[in-house]
Amino acid sequence: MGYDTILYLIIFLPFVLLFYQVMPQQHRWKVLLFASYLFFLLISGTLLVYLIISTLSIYFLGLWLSNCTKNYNEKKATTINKPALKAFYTKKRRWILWFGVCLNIGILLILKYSHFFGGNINHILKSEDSPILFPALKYALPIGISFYTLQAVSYITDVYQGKIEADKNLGRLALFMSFFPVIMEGPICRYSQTAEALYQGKPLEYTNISFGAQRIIWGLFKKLVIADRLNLLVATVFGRSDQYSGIIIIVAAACYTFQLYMDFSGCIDITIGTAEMFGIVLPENFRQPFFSRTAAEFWHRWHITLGTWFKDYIFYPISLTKFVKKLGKNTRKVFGKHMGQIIPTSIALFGVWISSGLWHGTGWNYIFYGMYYFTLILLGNIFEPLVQKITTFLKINRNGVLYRIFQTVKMLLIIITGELFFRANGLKVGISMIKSIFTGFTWATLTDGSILKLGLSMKDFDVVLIGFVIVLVVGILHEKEISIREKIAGWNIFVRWGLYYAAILLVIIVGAYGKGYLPAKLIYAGF
Amino acid sequence: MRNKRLLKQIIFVFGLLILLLIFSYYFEKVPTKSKGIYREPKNTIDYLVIGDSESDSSISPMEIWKDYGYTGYNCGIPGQRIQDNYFTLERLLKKQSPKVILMETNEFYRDFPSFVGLETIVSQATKKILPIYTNHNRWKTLNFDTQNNNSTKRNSHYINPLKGFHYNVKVAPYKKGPYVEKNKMTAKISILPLFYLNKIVTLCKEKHIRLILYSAPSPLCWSYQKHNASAAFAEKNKLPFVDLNLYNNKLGINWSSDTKDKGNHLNFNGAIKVTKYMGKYLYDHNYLSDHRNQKRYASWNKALTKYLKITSQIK
Repeated sequence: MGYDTILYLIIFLPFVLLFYQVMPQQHRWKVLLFASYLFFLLISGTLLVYLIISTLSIYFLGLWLSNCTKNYNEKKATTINKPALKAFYTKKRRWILWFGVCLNIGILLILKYSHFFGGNINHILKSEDSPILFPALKYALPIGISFYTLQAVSYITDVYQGKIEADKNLGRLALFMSFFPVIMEGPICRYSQTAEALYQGKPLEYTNISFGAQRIIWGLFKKLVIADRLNLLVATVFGRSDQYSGIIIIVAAACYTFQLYMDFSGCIDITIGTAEMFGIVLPENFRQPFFSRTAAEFWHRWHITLGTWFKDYIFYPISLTKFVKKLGKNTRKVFGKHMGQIIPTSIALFGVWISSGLWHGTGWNYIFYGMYYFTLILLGNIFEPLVQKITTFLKINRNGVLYRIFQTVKMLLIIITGELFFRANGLKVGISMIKSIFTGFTWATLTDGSILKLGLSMKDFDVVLIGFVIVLVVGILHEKEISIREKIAGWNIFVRWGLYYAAILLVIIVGAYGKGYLPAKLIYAGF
Repeated sequence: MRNKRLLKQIIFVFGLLILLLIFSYYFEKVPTKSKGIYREPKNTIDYLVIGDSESDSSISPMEIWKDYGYTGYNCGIPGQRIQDNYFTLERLLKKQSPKVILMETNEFYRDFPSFVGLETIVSQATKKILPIYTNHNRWKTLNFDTQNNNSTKRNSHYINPLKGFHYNVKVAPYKKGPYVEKNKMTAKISILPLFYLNKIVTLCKEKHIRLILYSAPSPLCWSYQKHNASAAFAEKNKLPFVDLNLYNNKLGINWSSDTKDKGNHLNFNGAIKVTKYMGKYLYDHNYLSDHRNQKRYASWNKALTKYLKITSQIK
């Protein structure tokens, strides 16, 4: 049951809203919990057991951590050997944390990656004529495992670090872990961001319902009108990439980039809009990513909650280890301040990007994707002083319009190249596609009608172009921090309603669903 | 204030429903570029072939037209779920009145999660109440000049030479040897596929359509367990069941040259053999009539010429 289906929009969500509102306030969280578990059960069936294991593990381990802290504080007052006591409890708490992290990440690794890693290990073993092979089993994945596992790890880590208190209420924690709008594609929430709001049971309010519904319609526009339409061309070319070359590959890669953005951000709009209807504020996951000028900036604007998770739970922990701190000190002495900072940072960055690549999928193309951005960001950091010197020498204003346009266009090309590998059916195929851009390049492709034989008619391209312009205009307004919904809310009711009706009818009439279109699942729900 | 807002919301939703009904009505009138069987003139199809990719690669209706003059259409869709087959059939039978349906059995064993089943039911119900969901794509053929409507003229000249058959001459041999091993085990037809299978049986009975089950030769998809399950279902519902996997020798199937994907599906060579057998089966049982000399079916003879050229049977 995707968030863009009639079953979700017309049956599931309205019924949940209705039952939520008629329940007494103190029981409303139970409606959300029941709805969340029902949602999970309908999609993943008995695999719900993994979510339950995850939830119970962090619940009990969180309380254990809390107990340890309490016992330490009680004994601290009376003990003579305070350093030994502190060391004992620090070690104990660390073991509990690592057990919780390893258990949750371990389940994810086994379910998601054992087939990939097992297959690769067996490839090496076979080439060495090994009689024994690794059991490369393929497991069914519960929906959202890549998302809720990160939430679980963030919870147990935040309890360990004392940022939050361990939750004694299992129901509240279970709801935080399973809340149905975020389970499929995020955003990845922190306990402190949403748990309390989910539990409060605030009554439904007109403004929240109205704004939430508008956000959902906006998400459906991006998903059904643009993303699912582009899916036809993308599936055609990437499905038989050996038959295409030159400009067609470039067009397909660009289309996939925009399809991925419209699909993922459209889904996030629907989830944020759904939560907004219940009065719950979820963190934003996108901030006009195609306006980015550098790779680092791109990852501050794209899948924001994943980036901040990696920053808080991988980058900083690695950076703050004794080894990396010592390395930083030594490299500063040898290589100077700039490289002295880059080298230790690059270790933490490597950890982030190898994790990011693997998080997205099991395949060498995903690892390549992670390393692609690791290399870009690292090179960006290394060459920043040089670029500074060159632009100063050439008297180029780096904040000028022309330079910013140049950087944005350059970054767009980098993003599209990365997404080509992301979508390709493997690393080898991705490399082959890149090669074929040059070997089969001919300008005639633009005018000989080849592009119209890839699944999209001229009218489809018109719709995509208009949709793109609309999204661009909205993006520019958001970049200027103009709230379009609030502006519209101040308009005359007939104009407002006319606009809302037009938007809904546009999605229903021009949406790329039904006959002639490929059913397009939510892309990030597959991660 | 609160009641006023609630009233506004109700009026908004009511207004939306009215608009959707108006657009549903309007879009029903918009000429459409129908595809596939929907472009065939009304009540001209004698038999349908339904199922998944095993069906669309195994029976070529134009071969049966050539030999016996029966009009047929292959409605097989790769990966088709039996639930979708049921709803498609329901819609199709509003325009066509076939006397026979040949149903390939592979999709009996394609289970689907209950929420997928629920989604399809809700989607189909919504499409019935608000046809705009089915016809929304007609915005592409919106022509405000109503005097220039060529769709009717287009349909009468329409020739589809393949009639839904998936023509493929690729050869990728199946090399794993004999695959028919008799046993008493039975595959399971899961609850949801069985539910819709029964609905198809009931629908055919209501419309007086002879439903014939068949299994296309496929070493990779077929098993004796599936044969036993299909045979048991056929017996229970008094339906004919033709399992072509048991007649490989009789059909003359050569797995070195008759499969396009190493034994998953037949290619054109294999499909010719299966089609000849099923055509004779229909002829021997006297289910249908020869239309080759009837004016109404003249376009089929034109389609046959095109078909023979496409399949390199004539130059």
